[in-house]
Amino acid sequence: MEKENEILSAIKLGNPKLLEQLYNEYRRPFLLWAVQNYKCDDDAALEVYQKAFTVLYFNVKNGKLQQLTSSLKTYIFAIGKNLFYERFRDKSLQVVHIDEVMNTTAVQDQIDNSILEHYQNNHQREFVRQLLDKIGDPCRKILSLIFIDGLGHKEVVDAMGYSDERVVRKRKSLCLKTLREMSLQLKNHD
Amino acid sequence: MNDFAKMQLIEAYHSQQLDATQQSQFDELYLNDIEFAKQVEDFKPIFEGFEMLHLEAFEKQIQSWEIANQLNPQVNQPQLVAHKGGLWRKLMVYVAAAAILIAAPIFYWNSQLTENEQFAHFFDPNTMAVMIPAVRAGGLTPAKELEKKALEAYVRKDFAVALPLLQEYSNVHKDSVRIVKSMKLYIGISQLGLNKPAESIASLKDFLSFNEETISDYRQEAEWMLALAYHRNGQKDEALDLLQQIAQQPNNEYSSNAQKMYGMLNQK
Repeated sequence: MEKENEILSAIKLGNPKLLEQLYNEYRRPFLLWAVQNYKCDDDAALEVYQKAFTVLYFNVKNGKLQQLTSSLKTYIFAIGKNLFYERFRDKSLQVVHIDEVMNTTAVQDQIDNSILEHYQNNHQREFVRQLLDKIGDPCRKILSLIFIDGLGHKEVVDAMGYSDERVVRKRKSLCLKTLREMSLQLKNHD
Repeated sequence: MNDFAKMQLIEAYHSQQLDATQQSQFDELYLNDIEFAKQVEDFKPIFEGFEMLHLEAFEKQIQSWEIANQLNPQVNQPQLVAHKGGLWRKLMVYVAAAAILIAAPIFYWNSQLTENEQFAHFFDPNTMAVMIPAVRAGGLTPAKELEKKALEAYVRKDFAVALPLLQEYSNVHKDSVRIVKSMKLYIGISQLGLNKPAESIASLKDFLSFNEETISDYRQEAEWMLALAYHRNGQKDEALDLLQQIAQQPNNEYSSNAQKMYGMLNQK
């Protein structure tokens, strides 16, 4: 469990390579499990897997999952199970033969699927996209790398050639300040 | 507490990452410092927008892993956590047997990928490196305004809008070899995005012929795009030669994609 909690910390700090490895690690077992237990086709299983992986990532990133009480694999399967229940409930379909490959009830209270619901909020997304277009570089680049691509400060140092993480934090802070001023101006303008 | 520390608290609050000490500092400031409380509220839509953009980017990222996975399923199955023991081995045998049944349609799908789908997977211009002129007090000159519009459209990957603007900007500066040549990269990539591979090849070659030092930061992307343009233009031998060169450079950021594409083209 200690090793898996280290993986959580690494995800939180922003590590796209590790995420890709995790995605590939659990993909095949998840698809097998889903197709067998929910009698769905590959496309449906893949769609649920991708949603489950997204929920896992945002729960870690947003600090909703800080410490694992079971394996990371159990956690992602539990999210998948929740998503299948929602899917079948929505489509009024009956779940056929659920064979529990692992005990997922222990992690239910650590799961929050709400990130997927926020996706509809186009207005906020376009508002910030507009601000980033206006702010110009290097602020656009630094804010995009950190807040949109989810990179850690260390990765930003490498990507932008700054001397150390302190410079990145300072720059980010100034850029956020500018972004706020632009946002207020834009709102006053409207 | 200085502005920098306050900003860090606000960011941690909106990212839901306040620890216990920060939480109490935050609560106290929020109650007693009106300006701080206003800043917290002003930043709310900004951080919400960031999270939505992050979600959008993450979904795109997952799709790119998925396409890579389906193009090359054997390579992309790393084992992060080591497992030992008889039960695990038995389970692996069971999983392997079942995987054959599940993977068969995926292999089938892989072989059915159209050239357009393959191209869409590999064609991913690095727009993060594009430097758009920032608006300063007094505004921008017409030429800078044109450059800004052209590059903004390019960054949005709206190549139909970007291409004529980039060409116009290049014409305005036709006396500056540096600007004309440097714009060739974006022009060539836009042409490729608009499925004009022959024109793209000419532009990218022109870019690559420019002074080595000036374009060194962008050389890798230009070569990778040139390989894609060759492939798109039906020049398989040229594409394979260039892909092989890129794949053999361990520090080239397109090396792994070049290996994948080289393998795919060689199978045909």
